[in-house]
Amino acid sequence: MKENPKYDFMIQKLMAAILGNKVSDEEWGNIMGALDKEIKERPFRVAVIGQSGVGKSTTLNSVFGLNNYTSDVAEGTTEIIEKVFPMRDGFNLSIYDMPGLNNDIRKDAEYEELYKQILPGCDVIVYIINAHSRDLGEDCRILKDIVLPICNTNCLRDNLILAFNKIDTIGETENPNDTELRWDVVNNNPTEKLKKAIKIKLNNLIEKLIDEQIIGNADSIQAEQVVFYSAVFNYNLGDFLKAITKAGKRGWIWTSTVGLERIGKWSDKRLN
Amino acid sequence: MTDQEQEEYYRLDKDSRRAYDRGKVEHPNWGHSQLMVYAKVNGNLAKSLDEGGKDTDPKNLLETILQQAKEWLSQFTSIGKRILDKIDDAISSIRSFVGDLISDIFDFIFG
Repeated sequence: MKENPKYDFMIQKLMAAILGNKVSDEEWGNIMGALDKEIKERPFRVAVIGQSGVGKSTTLNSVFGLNNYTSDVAEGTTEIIEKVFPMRDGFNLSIYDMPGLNNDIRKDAEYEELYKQILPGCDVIVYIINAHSRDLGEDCRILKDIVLPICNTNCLRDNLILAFNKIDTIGETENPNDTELRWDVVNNNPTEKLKKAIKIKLNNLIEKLIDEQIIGNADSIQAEQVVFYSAVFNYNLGDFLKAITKAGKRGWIWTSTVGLERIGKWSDKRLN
Repeated sequence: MTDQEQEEYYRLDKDSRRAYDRGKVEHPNWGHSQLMVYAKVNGNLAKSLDEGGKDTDPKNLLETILQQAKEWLSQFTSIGKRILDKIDDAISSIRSFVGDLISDIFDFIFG
């Protein structure tokens, strides 16, 4: 392994182990220099889009490891502030907490302008949808008319993650009186009956997204960019982590600097 | 189905293939790419639920990180093919490593 007093990030340690003494000092300098610059000189920018109540704050806390982040973005606001969070050793996470459109078509043009300004600078764009939504109408409209066209124009389609949060509440929404449809908090798992309900519900949502041409077409997003999870219960965050890693050109930076060290510590948050 | 589509279909796992077949019956207007995404999303969902929503397979994640990092490095003219090939070799070794605990994989990588 190349002699170096200190590697700050896992990706540097990995490269040192893989390339070891098989490269020249000059090549080694080029690789480490490029990595260091990419990680430290530019924050990892994440835009989170979603209507009120979809769980943007809990998602940022559980998936991106923020501590008690609270979304204070009011519906209807057209000013978005970049919030920068120092992660470690000079690596920063930058969050754009975007408001949902809240069924206000009159504001579409203003939002489109706002999204056009912010999204092209983002490494990952997370569009959060409430998994127990009865109707995806408004989300489909925002995705189809605003988010996807901006992503396609700016070669950002790979940066987009469609995240279905709150899968734990699908059963309760269907039948609040059926205890078998409630989340098993002791084992932090859906009950067998809830599993079936989740599969049926999400299957319906996916059918809708395909019919609306948001997924499944040449200029729409791919299967790996669709994730299902519960931010409250830290459930199925692994798929989310993988989607981040594959996002755009810089998604891997998140995982290899912070995320990888949390493997095994994200999910399985049992409450007993 | 074209030969290529058929190849893609046979590459799906059992759950996904079942979803593809179901989608084809229920949505005769869908084309192959729509059925594929339907199959993959349903397959991923079934797998995640069956595995209890645990963290991702670390071996698979490491492979993905290295693959993506390699693609990023390939944009620099100062980083030659020989280096990118070494990263590919490492990805293959990790893939064939038996074991899925992150500590074991790290021991394997870092010796």
